Amino acid sequence: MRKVHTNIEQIAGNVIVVKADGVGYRELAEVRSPFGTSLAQVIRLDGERVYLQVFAGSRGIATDSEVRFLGHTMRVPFSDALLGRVFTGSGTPRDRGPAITENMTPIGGPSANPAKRIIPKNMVRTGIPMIDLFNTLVESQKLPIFSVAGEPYNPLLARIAMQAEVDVIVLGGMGLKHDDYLFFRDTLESQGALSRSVLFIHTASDPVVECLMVPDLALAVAEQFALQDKRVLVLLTDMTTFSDAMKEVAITMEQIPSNRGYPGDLYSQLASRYEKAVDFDTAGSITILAVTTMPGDDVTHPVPDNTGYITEGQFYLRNGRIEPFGSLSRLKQLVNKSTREDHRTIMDSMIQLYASYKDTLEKQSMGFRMSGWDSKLLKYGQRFEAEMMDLTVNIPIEKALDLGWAILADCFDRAETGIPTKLVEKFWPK
Amino acid sequence: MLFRSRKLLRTGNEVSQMMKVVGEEGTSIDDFILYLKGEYLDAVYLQQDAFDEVDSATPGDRQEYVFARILKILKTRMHFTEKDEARLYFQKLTQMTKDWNRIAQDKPEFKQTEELIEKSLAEVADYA
Repeated sequence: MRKVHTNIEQIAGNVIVVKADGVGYRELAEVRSPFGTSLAQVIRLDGERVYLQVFAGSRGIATDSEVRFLGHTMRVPFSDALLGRVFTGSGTPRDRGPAITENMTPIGGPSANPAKRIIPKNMVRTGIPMIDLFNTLVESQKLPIFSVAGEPYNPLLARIAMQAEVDVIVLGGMGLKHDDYLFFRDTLESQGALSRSVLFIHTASDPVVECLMVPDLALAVAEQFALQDKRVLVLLTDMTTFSDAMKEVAITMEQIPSNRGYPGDLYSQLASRYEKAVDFDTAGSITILAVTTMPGDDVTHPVPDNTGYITEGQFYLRNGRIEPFGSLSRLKQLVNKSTREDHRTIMDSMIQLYASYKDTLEKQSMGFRMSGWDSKLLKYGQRFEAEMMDLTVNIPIEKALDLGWAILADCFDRAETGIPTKLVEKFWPK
Repeated sequence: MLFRSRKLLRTGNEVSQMMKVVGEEGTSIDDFILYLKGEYLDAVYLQQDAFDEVDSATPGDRQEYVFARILKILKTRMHFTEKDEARLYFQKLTQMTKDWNRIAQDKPEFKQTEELIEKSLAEVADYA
């Protein structure tokens, strides 16, 4: 039986202070008040003084409330029974299903041993041409989706969750609106993808600390699946909310704020999550796709700025499309040489022509006469946007490459595309 | 030689900036050809195809050889009646030169393509 502490020294915001010894950093405790029992986590140690962040808030807690330390940090259960289930940010079921207590694993552990990693070499097929063809996602890659409020980033994630050719999807939702949560759950369920998914959902009305747990819970579960030889895709939305939650906690802890009020260790905090992405030499892999919303479309905001130094490229979601300019999968060259010989050429040529189309659009809006070449570009650009860039297009990469040739052949003559004659002779539709 | 091609790149770019203001129809055919020549030099000499085995690593002597050849093309006075005709010609020329860049120098195709380029140049050269 563990000691019960009833001598709370200080209550400030959601942080309470008790005197105790033998307590570790990040250890969990239960706080009992007339309002019920809540979990709390050690967030600071100062000699005998232990600072606890109370998940449910400090309302109803009096100085004589009972605090019982649990002797372990946050843990998450692991078994195949997790698949198809929805949990909160404290790891309890959100879907009225039974609680799972098997194989409790601590969360927030160290990232994988570099010696156990291999150089990424496998593509993750998503069926979305703007990803598969132009910015191929690679197993073990960590990639943010830079987006703005109002862009369909959650529908995009849901689509990837349904279409991606992986074994397990772990979705971590932070600060989601209840509608968004229901959207994810219902979409995955109706498409039959829920049975291969685990959802950790923190909604905007849940305690802030639970938001901080979501990525760690999701990644700890993902790691366990990966160790069982599964290819896991972790989808996180949205890391800016996560960073804002960190900011809130840091401020109640009276940390000195850094850039725009975020804690000074923002970079390390984000990196320790993204670094969980791994391709094991003798087991499965973890791939991370994380939405990062940019307040005011400002890429110099501390969250996207720091994120950009950690991840291997980024997708820009703009006007409901994955923008080809600016988006980059830094690892794509590791995989796109072995898909099909025309992959790289189609990828380059189509984007080059699309850039010319953008120039022509500019010219057109200034009221200049369109030359024959301009009209060809206009036709091409419209087909490219409608048939390739649209996010509802779901075709395997081979079909997307064939479609690319078909669009090129429909809009241009052979010599106009700048494609090597060798490939033109082989692939140009007759 | 270098000075001359650098100047061409600069004037070519100036013409393209000008065309953004006055449009293609407000540009003289001579200026337009300068613009196309600048784009051509950029596309076939300054840019490389890093995915291609040959073009991704070009030895120094080949660089000199190709550069001399391209300079000769750029120096050639060309005659076109229509801008679209000029553009189409340069698209084809770019295609041929890029193919040339992708052929190893010791292959017989290297000389063949070079001759092909020369022949197509003769068709538009203005010797008057």
